[in-house]
Amino acid sequence: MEMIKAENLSYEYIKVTETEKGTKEEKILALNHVNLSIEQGSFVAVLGHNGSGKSTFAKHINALVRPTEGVLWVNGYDTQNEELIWDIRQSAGMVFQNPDNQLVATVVEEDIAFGPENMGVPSEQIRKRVEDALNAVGMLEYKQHSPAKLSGGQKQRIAIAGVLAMKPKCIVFDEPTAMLDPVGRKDVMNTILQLNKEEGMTIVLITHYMDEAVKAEKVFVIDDGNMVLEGTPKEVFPQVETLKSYGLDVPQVTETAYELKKMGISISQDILTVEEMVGAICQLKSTI
Amino acid sequence: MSIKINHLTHIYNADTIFEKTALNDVNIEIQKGEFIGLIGHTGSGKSTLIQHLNGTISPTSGEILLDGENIHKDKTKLKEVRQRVGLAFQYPEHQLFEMTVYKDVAFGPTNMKLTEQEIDKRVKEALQTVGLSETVYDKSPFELSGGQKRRVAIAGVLAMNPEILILDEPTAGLDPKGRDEILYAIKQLHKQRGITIILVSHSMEDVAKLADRLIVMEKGHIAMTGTPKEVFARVRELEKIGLAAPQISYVITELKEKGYNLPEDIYTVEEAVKALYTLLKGEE
Repeated sequence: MEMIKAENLSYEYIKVTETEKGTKEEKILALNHVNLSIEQGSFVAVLGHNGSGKSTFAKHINALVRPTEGVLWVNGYDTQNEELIWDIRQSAGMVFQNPDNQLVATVVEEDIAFGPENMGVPSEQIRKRVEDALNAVGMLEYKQHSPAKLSGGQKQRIAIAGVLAMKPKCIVFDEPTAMLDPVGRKDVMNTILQLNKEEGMTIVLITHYMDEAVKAEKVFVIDDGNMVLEGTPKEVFPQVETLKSYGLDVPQVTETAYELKKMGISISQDILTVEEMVGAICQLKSTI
Repeated sequence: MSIKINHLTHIYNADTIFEKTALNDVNIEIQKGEFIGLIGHTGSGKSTLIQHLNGTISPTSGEILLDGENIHKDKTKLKEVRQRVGLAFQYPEHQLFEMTVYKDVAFGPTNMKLTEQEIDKRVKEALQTVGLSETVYDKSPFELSGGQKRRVAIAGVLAMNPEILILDEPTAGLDPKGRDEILYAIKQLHKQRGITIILVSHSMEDVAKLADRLIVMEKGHIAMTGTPKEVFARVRELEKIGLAAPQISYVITELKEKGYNLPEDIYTVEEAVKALYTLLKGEE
């Protein structure tokens, strides 16, 4: 079943800028007839440079904005229908870039309880939800801590637990690791992968880090509001020149394989990880 | 201007239960015109260290010498120290506030009570160095892209004509294009003005491209120092202290561990392509 389905989704808005010479208005087409579908339980990555429209797309999933043309279904709900807004937001949770902007309480467990409390969940169930959510992100021992004293990666995992406590079917992550150090990034990525594999959560990950995107089952590339590439990481990343033209990176190993091929070495082009690269070189060496 | 740090120790909340030693007997010497990459994981002490360099915080013990002179010897000179050592904080674009790009960059020099003419010259030079053209002068800084905003903020520090520029995570949160723009601007700046640059970063790929020398911090002390080649060759040690070398360094290290003969000091795609090509074709 499809968790998210977009049909001819377009979003247009009027940008008003204040300058010293007065106000200026221009029409911006942030999303241009986008079609896509994301299966329930899958893990997809959305790539694109800043201003490409990927965050606008993410906001549609949560009905923070609505299509100006076309339709978007989330868990079968049409986001155009205002009466369904709470069903939609409960189906698809969102985690943003900066954890500091998402934490509301002074104690971790209270922060996690905030969502379910607002949903009117009975208090004995809230307790269980809080524990389960903290357990899922590996932060149960920090239940009584103050979020302010945690590291960036830990805060982000608390933000994820806060979303989990609302029991969504899908979580949209908008550059969740952009502000974290390598250790924090690794912890958050492991948490995301675990939610997908063990809890069957549908994951939409917006990222600039290609080493994160290669872990997805499917990759979508958005450029200037258009869906320009779509496929498995092995289909998308070997298109080195195309990706660079969209202002994106490719993993260093993929680029190395691409360059070696150009020099006449018959090395596979869909290498995405260090292990695959090491394997490919060893194999080439043994066949020479 | 050269920097010399002797036995620098900094203890937060000394003599309380929250006591924390952020820097522990740090000794560093940085020569004029060097491009330093300062790396270390969160809490390793790198932010505490750079805040000492322009006198934002004072050492618990030890000294910081700029051109041989202790910056805390004469407290009235600290203002001058802060002009000579420019510090661009993390997310410097949060500090933009003026109506136009031009005015924002002019804020520092205006406060330095320079002549109109000198201010104009500095603003234009600073914006040119970071690669922003005249077309943005009258724009509101808030209209610009993330990468452009950040370049305006860096230009604001540059307009004070610092002899040393410290950049704390200048590429954090930017997309690959914005990141490349900033890195290019920093590279140009180092080339054109020859000023000393200290780049604080988590991104090994970034520092690998730019720095002459890396300083790796761990738990308040210097864990390693050397050229990028020397440091990235120690992939396994870097991992132990929570850092990562560029992806391609891992490939080379693993192949070497399997017994293949490859040079140790590879950390860019270009170098790897060359070395692997030789490895594969060399024996034919």
